[in-house]
Amino acid sequence: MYIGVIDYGASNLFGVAEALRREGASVSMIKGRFLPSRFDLLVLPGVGSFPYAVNGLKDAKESIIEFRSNGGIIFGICLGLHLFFMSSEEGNGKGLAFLDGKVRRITGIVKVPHMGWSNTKLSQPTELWDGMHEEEWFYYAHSYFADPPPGTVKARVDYGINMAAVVVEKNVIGVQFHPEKSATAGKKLLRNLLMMVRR
Amino acid sequence: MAVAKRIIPCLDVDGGSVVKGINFKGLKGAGDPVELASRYRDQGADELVFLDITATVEARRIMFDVVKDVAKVLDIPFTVGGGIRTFEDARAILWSGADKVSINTVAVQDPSVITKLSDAYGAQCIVLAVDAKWVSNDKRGGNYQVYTHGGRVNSGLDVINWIRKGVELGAGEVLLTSIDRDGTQSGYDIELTKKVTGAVEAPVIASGGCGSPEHILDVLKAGNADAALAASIFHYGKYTPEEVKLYLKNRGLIVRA
Repeated sequence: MYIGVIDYGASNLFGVAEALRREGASVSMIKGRFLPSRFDLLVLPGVGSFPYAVNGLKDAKESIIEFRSNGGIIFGICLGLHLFFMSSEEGNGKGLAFLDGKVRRITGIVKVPHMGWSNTKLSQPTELWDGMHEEEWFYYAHSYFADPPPGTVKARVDYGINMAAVVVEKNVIGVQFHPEKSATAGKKLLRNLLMMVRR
Repeated sequence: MAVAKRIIPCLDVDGGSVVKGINFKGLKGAGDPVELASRYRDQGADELVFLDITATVEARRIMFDVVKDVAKVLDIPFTVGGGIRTFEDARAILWSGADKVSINTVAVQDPSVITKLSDAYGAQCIVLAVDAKWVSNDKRGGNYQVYTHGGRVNSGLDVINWIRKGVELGAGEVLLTSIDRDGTQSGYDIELTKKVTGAVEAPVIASGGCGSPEHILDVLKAGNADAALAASIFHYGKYTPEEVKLYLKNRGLIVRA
């Protein structure tokens, strides 16, 4: 399997790439335009800030959109999930606009960033969760969260409010946590993702 | 709220090897960072901190390779700190695969580095490391002050004011070490930790003085810390992170199973 990890300049891609390699995939980094047919799966990793990432994404944007229209699966992690939206409260710039809804800042009585392991609960069946418990521990590190249409939310996490943890809208899949840093639970989820791509 | 309290073993690295006589049974190469990291991961550590204590600048380049090797195998988050003198140093550590970088001296010398790093990589990967020491002033009591250069230089900054400023500038987390308690195994400085956790909304990792699971319970509960960092109780095989977490769970704290 050939996986392209989008390098938008700000992100630490290393952890994500290595986690996918451990599952036996061939992983290359993508900067700028690319040929969509080269890849079975695209990954938007997740460290950085929204305005910075949007800027770094400019050159690859068209190819990503084409990949998605051809039916390829795109997987976004944390900030990568946020980039699926049109805009974010984190700052200016236009995202990919694959998902309706918005990205909002965590507020209230909780600490920000939301940093650490949180129990994450499946809310609607998805193949991504195959073979896993209804509740699993995942690692989070974020100050903003995705607020998409409820129908697309497959798992949720409680942190002040009940936030989306897994979002699936056809071939666009996003997670708020970091599967590459979530030990065994993360490994299972990535394995399921690769199974979905193979099918 | 539903975020688990974290247990974080800390490993000191000198010239590419973990030092401080860690004695796990059945280790192949003593001091191999990759092997030790994996071992801690299997023992239920929630996160790891690597502290580079290498003295010479040339030898410090080895740390980038250590970070790369660890990042290849480790599937829990890890922070790298120590010896980071510039924005470029911090960037190189993150690019080598560390999830977070912790900065102390460089942040005090040039606070704008915090903002630059935070803007580029996000607040969640910038850890403000603060070495705090109680400085008494015979007339008016005293205050906690910030030390830099591995605890050798008193910056004169007040700990609470500095941490407030650091978080405002973009640090996403605080690694708070009590110099007074460090190495004593007599317990964390609860008063200091309580003051800091009450002053900022960013998560606080308490460090310095851990000698038992009771100390960890204390700093997480009474000190309201979000995470506890410890070295010796794990290194010498006295407890595993898993055992500590079970202890905490039985006393009503939320930990990752």
